[in-house]
Amino acid sequence: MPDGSPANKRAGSREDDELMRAIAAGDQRAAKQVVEHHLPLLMSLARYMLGSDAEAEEIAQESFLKLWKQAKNWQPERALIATWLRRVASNLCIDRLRQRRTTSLGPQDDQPIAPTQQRNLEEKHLTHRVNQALDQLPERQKLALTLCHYQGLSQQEASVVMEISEHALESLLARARRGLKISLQDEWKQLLPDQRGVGEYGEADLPQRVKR
Amino acid sequence: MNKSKMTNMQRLQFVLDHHGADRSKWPAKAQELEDYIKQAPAAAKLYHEARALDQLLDQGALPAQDSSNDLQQAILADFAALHERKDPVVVPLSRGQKRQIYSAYSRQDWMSTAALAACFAVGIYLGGVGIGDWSLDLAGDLANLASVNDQFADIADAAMSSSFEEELL
Repeated sequence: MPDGSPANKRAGSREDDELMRAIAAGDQRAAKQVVEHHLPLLMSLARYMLGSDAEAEEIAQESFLKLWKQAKNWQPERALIATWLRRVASNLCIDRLRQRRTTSLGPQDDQPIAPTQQRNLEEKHLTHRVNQALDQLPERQKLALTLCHYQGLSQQEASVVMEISEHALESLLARARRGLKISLQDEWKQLLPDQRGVGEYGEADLPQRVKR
Repeated sequence: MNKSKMTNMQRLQFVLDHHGADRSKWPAKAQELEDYIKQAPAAAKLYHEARALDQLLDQGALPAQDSSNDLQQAILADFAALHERKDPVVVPLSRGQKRQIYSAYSRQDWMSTAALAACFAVGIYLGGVGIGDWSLDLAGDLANLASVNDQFADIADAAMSSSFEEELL
């Protein structure tokens, strides 16, 4: 991830402004460049939020369509393309999650995303439990956690994407963690170091099986 | 809760809830809690619980996946379709500069339209030779036309800026 210093942000913003001008003028190469650069980020965000590859692809396509339509109105130095796209995709994901909940549909109606085949059954079960617990979180808590924990955004960056203050974001994260701590207590308790190791403040005392 | 009146245990709980157990993500002021964790078994327990939760969250990480080529093609096809439509497109110039209205018409379309307009203007001019008022009227009409065009650009500009504000802000 690029360093978020003000100088880098300004440079990124200028670069994005040029790209958006080219896109507004119909430049296919600029559009391709933006897609290649930002599609993986969007797919990752939507997959975490919706748990479905098919739906994530729809969200990504819809987000880019909105970007193409907005290109002509792009206001220089107002936003980065990545932030703008994440914001649009986040809102689309939240809409879908709310729709799912009101229509009582399951998490997804296509094949759920499977963990890699190398993982053993126990790990698959654990992954499934974690994803289940994440699905049960309120949408905005899930989004905050996804942006910060899985997408590696700083709290400041995530708050810009979500259009909330950093304090509000911290509060969402705290509520999400507290919720998960309750719903996953059987699982995290198994990951605690032995009683002997509790007093040791080291990295080596967590069970090997959860390490990557 | 007022953070300055918190006990160390409360501060630790607050930091773990808000930032997780990854110390690199803790605010600078919270780094001093490291010593407290080393010294107080209850603090270490709390820390390890938060770390276990973080590890569990890592377990929920999805395998990275390359986005499909089909999806990229579909997205770029949307782009092409949008630009094949002959809707007017506003291209923002650098800050402070007035926006210009471009259209998605091709250069050839523009050239032929411009040639037609030039023929029209020359025809009017030739027809108007000897009748001085006509040429003056023509100049006035062209000025009016330019003014209307500017107004249109301003209106389009304002409408599009407003929709952008709604979308982005």
